[in-house]
Amino acid sequence: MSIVSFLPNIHKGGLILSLCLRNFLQELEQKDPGNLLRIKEPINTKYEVTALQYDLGAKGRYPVIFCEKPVLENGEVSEIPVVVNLTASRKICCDLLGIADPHRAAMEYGKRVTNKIEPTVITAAEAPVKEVVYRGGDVDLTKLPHILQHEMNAGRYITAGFLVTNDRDTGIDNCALMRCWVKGKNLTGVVASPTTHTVTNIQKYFAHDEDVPVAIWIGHHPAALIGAQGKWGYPASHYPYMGGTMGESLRLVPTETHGDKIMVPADAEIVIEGFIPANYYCAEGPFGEYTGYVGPQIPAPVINVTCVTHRKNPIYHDYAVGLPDMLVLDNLAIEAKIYSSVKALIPELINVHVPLSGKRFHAYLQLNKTRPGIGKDAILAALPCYPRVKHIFVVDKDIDIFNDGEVLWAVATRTQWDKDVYILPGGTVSPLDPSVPYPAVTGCNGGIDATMPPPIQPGLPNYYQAVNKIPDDFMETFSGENFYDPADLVKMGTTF
Amino acid sequence: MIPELGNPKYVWLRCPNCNQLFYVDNDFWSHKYEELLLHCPYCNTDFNKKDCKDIWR
Repeated sequence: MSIVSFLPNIHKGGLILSLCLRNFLQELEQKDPGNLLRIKEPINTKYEVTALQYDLGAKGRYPVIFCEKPVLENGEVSEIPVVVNLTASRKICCDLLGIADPHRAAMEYGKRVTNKIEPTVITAAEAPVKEVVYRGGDVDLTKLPHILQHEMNAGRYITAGFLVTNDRDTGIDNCALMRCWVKGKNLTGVVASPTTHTVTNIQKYFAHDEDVPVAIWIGHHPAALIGAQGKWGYPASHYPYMGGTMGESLRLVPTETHGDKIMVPADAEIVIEGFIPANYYCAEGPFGEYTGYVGPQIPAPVINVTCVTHRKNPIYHDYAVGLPDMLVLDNLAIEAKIYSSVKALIPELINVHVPLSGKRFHAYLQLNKTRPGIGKDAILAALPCYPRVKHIFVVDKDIDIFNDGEVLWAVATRTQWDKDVYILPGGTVSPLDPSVPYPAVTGCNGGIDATMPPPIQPGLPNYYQAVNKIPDDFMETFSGENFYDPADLVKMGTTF
Repeated sequence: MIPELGNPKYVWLRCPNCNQLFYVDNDFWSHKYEELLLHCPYCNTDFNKKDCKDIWR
């Protein structure tokens, strides 16, 4: 049974409530309380929240964490709670999309995220995110419980803020997750990767020496976040896709500063409005990135904040960068992209997994080895699917691609690197990959074909050594728990 | 440039105020950003590249 129901609306007391972060948390707490960890005691926004995520992750646990009393930089306890690990669970993300088996996300995700429902525009009076409005000198971003995540980070960052810009030519909006360093009461940095639609929009204004109207929205139902983070065409609004993943029309409201030129989700928790001044750059970073390394300080634009609006008793959302908290959603999308592209060329493809261990750089492809060469064909087909994926590991159908150890076993025992490794220099790579040499703008991609030779003829075993196994008919009736008490497992020694 | 020392695409330096080590992108030495101040993530001081005694690039 699903942890979280994928219903268009929550019906409560005859009212239809639009999906939002707070009703997701309510529903999670009612239906699966073990997956919502409430921290009732004060917890410091400097390192402590992120350290808790690392601690639980090391133990293989990824509950949504709700920090009721985050401690601010000045030592005060914030009245605004912080939620983290919102999308750290593959199971919860798949539930939200109606994908019953999280192992089948590669096949199912694409079908779920391409639906579109047009948004509905409501008035400011109807919009929960306008319940509290601060303008001009009343704006103070330092009152929000921004998290200081890692050593050497330049400061506290908005990490779960979706930056809304628009295409100067068509007016079509775009929203994307962008990190923003909070530099003062009404000033933030803003960083966008050079290949993003956000940068295209910013550059169009900069080319006319015009300031860029922007807004950042923070905190929404995770189903909305899935649609917001989709990789769509340009120019294309993400809002109809957010409606598609939510199963209901997304409610939008014009911003205080820009009117209907820049609209924001009316059921978000917090909105920050402002302008990016034309062609103005400042030092930004260093910042702990998704790669697991601290990205260097770079020249980047800033945002002059003009207005902050939020709901009464807002909830602040933070993504721990480089942890499953932010990787799971994106990795699901990459799996779907690779699966649909490679499957069209190689029907023998069974499944795809983009493992957390490789951040976004590795993809495991499982296929039915019907003929020689098919493994290398799959590597070549998969590499161009997503620019951040640089290494493809192709394995047989007996390998569990959701188990890093099994994939490495296949690499150890089914490859000779002089003939099974593809090395393809000069391809597209992530600029954040610390191993990409300077000043190259391209890098080396490749893959390992860790499949056994195919059977000599259909119906026969693979032409290779047989894998150790206990006979199937014996295992059908065997249960280890006849010989030990499962409760004693925690006391037993491990391989360490 | 010492190929075995660090990664040459980043410039390691020491903050002239607090002496902590951190790194910045090579872009700061391009003509476009020549005048841009650097920012120390440890002591929050903004400083000019020229005031930096130790730079590895």
